[in-house]
Amino acid sequence: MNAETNPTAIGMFLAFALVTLLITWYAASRAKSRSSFYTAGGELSALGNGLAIAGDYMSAAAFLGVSALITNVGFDGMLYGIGFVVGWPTVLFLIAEKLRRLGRFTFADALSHHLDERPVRIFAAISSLIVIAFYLIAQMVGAGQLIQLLFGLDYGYAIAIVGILMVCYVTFGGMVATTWVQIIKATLLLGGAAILSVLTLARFGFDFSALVDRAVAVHPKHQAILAPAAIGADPISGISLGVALMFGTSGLPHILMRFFTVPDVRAARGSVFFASLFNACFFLMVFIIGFGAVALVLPDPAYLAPGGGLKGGANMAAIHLSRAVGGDVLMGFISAVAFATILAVVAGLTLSGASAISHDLYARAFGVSDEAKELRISRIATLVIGVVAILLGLAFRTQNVAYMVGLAFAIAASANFPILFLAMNWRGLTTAGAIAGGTAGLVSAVGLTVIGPSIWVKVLGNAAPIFPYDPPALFTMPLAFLVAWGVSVWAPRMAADGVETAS
Amino acid sequence: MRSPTPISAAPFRQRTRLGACLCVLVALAYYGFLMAGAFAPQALARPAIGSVPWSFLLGALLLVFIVAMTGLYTLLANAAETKAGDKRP
Repeated sequence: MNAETNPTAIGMFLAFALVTLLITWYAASRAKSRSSFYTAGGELSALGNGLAIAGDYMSAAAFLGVSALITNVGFDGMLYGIGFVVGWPTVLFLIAEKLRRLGRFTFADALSHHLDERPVRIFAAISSLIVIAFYLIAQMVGAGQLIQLLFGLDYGYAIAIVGILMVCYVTFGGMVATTWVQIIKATLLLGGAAILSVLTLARFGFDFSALVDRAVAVHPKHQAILAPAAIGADPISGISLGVALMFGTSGLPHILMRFFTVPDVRAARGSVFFASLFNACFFLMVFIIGFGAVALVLPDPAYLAPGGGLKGGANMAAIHLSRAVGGDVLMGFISAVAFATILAVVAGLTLSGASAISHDLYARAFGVSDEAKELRISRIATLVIGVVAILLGLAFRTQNVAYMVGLAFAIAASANFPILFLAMNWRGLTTAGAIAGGTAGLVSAVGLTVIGPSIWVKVLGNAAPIFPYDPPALFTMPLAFLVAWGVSVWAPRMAADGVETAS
Repeated sequence: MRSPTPISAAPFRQRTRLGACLCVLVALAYYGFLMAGAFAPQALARPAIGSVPWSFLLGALLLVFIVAMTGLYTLLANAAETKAGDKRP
């Protein structure tokens, strides 16, 4: 356990908390209408919104997790990085344009255009909340463990601090504060990763070849870290993960919500371009950081735990590297940025969860058209989500939650994406078809994950999985399309036949 | 206050087609790379520039390609919109 307190880390983090709370205080005076609460009044620039969207993907899991994966297994980690970027063109080419024209606050707005509003809203809200819950649990548990490691703070306190700050940002500052927290953090994280990669490359005279040579020489797997390995062992799971990542982004409610925060469809397109640009730069730097950690951290006994492996666990690779190339000051800075990253991501998730409850369920599905009441409900929903997130974070503290982000992506790709895509592109989609297809995708994605390797074997401790592929998106996404199409086409015919037979 | 805009027909259909084409290109590049990783990992591990292997080089190029495609779509769609004088949200 790395419980040494690092004054730079604590100072930097307090500065971040102070600045973001000041912004929240400023934003609070403006978050008086639904439009400013949900979408920052639609006044963000493409660059600012792009940074915020990219920030949603540059989570602590992406920064520490992907660099750790690269340090452990080599190139396979980079495939994850590429997967996180390949979702952007899909969003832009297939979803963003029409979503921006048809919707106003949430993606369910676009769904209910041609379909019967109430059932579709209820389905979209439930499916959004499930996706958000899995994503949020993974972030909260990760946050508690990480902050415990980085700051020597007790897990319970760490979870409580994250929960309280995120509720403050969202309740008082709405989308304006949530976005600025995300923009500041994304800038800090990109800056931190850039400093870390430049200092790492400087150790090798800016010769990437020399870095690779050194990494191959010191890594226990040597040459094997240069090529993909996992996908060769199980190509179907590898491709299925590719499907979940490529199409899951297009079904994540907290990402889709960001297309309503800019003034027009041009700025919406520009935001996705900037998001993909920042994410691509970020993962290229993470790649250098991961291999840098192989070359500089793995051979140094100072960073190794007595029982083998890295001190503080595998996720500490990037943090150890920051100390190796930049001393305690850089390590403190990177630790504080990792904390800020978690806060920004959970705030965005909480806001989209609150909007699903207050806008989709309360205001639209149950027809309360009072703006002040809807706003009050969204603030209460934020508070409830905050409390639930803290409780879930405590409940799952000792659980292996690594599968949860994957599950969130699988559900987003199998339930939200197919019906959103069909609703915006196919006039023949019926309400029954949308609900049946979405439900088929949702239930099969959850069910097959439960009986698959990551829960049935790793969590429940069974010897062999019943369904061998993880994630299941390769099968469940087409299933959702098929069921939505089948029910839309056949149900009306069967009903007509029924009427004829009866008469 | 914004409100949903009615879809303007022809330029919109063109953009949908452009989006579909670029989406297929990105999918081909991405799944092609994954397939190469699954069935020819040894070829990817061979050095391309100095000691830097093909896997790194192609992975980095794939990222550049993805960004270039989103940039291309944004440029073309925004230019078409300017030309059509479609300034609506």
